[in-house]
Amino acid sequence: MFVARNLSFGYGQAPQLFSKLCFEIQPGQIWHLKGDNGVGKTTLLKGLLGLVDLQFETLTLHGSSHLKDFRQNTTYIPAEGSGGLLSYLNATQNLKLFNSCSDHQLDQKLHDWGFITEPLRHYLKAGEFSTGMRKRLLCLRAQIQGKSLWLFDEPTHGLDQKGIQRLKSMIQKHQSLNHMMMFASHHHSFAQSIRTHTLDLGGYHKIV
Amino acid sequence: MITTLQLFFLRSLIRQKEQILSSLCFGLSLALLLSLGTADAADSVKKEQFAVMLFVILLITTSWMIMKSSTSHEKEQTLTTLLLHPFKASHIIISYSSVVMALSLITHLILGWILAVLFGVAGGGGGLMSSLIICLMPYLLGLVPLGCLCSTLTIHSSHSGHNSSALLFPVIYFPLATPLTLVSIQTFKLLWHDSDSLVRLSSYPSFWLLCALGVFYAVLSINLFSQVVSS
Repeated sequence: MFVARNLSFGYGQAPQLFSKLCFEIQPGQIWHLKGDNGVGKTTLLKGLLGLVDLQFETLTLHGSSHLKDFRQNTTYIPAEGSGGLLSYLNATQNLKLFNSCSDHQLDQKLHDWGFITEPLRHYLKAGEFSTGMRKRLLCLRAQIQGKSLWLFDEPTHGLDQKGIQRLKSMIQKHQSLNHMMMFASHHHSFAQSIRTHTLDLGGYHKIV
Repeated sequence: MITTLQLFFLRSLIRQKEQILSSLCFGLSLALLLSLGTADAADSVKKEQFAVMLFVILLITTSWMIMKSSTSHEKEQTLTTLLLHPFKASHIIISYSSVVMALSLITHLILGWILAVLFGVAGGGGGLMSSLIICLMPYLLGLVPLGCLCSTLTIHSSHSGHNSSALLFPVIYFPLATPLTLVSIQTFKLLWHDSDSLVRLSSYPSFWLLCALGVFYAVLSINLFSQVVSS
């Protein structure tokens, strides 16, 4: 279970982006973080991982409040940027970086995620991938790591319909394992189809 | 944990070989220009100038290598990736520094030898290369983690939107590196001119001062790095 109590964040003397935010993500729950641009969705996701200084009363994952334990059990996919994929490594090398997985298993999984041809899997560098292919690779990495909490920022950004379908089934499997997820998305039909709860940052803060 | 990270950084630096090659070529160009500028000087003056030039080149090329490498890691968001994996901040800086130190040591021994040939001082004194290795180890021990810390500070402050962030590296790094460089030059000259330098190594106060400064900068940088990264 993931518990957050009284989360607040503001830039310097400026008014706070959000304050006294509380939520509890139970096993098997998928939370949709919604709100207009600039309300602090990305900041909140980053803050949960200690990449932005949040003020909080309680922040625990599986009973532990240590940042290291939190990071150990969490996969984060940012909306933009490399997301930790190294541009000079190919898809297979990126997936094998710090993860133990056999070549055969990887090949099969990459194939399932649309990396059908040999050059896509083994020769093309991640820096040469399109946004969509990079996002597919990040999703696959999350799947391989199998951590209990996923924090995804605009996970459908750049993905085509097939990619979105693949992502949905991946999230459903994650949910069936009693794992948790929080995602920020403006893709309403996607969000509606997978979410179990909503945290609305737009205008006022409430738990639905 | 540290070995995994060391292998990761070694592969990363070797794959981006232009970082090592450009610092080596930059150092070679400087060495050639400086040797041409001192071609007419007397042998004793050349020896003095050689020691100073050598460490000035080492300071510039090491800074060059660290800055180039940091820019590349910033682009790749390597630090965030490693922190989220999660690796400890202290393990990251220790691993990265040890790899950069090893590569710098090799690069600078090559540069030192070429510079000595260009200055015509390669054969003089009590072992140029052994004196250079003895001085380079504590020098790089302090200089490389300090460079990592300063480049990380610069990157962090630029992310925070501070307009003067680009000034941080030169303003902090070079003044802090200067005492270390001065003591290294002094120690190197003493060791190089003494044919029994290795036997009497422990009797040189400047050598102990160099070691103390190297350890101090390394410990300080590793501790501060963890603070900077978590802030």
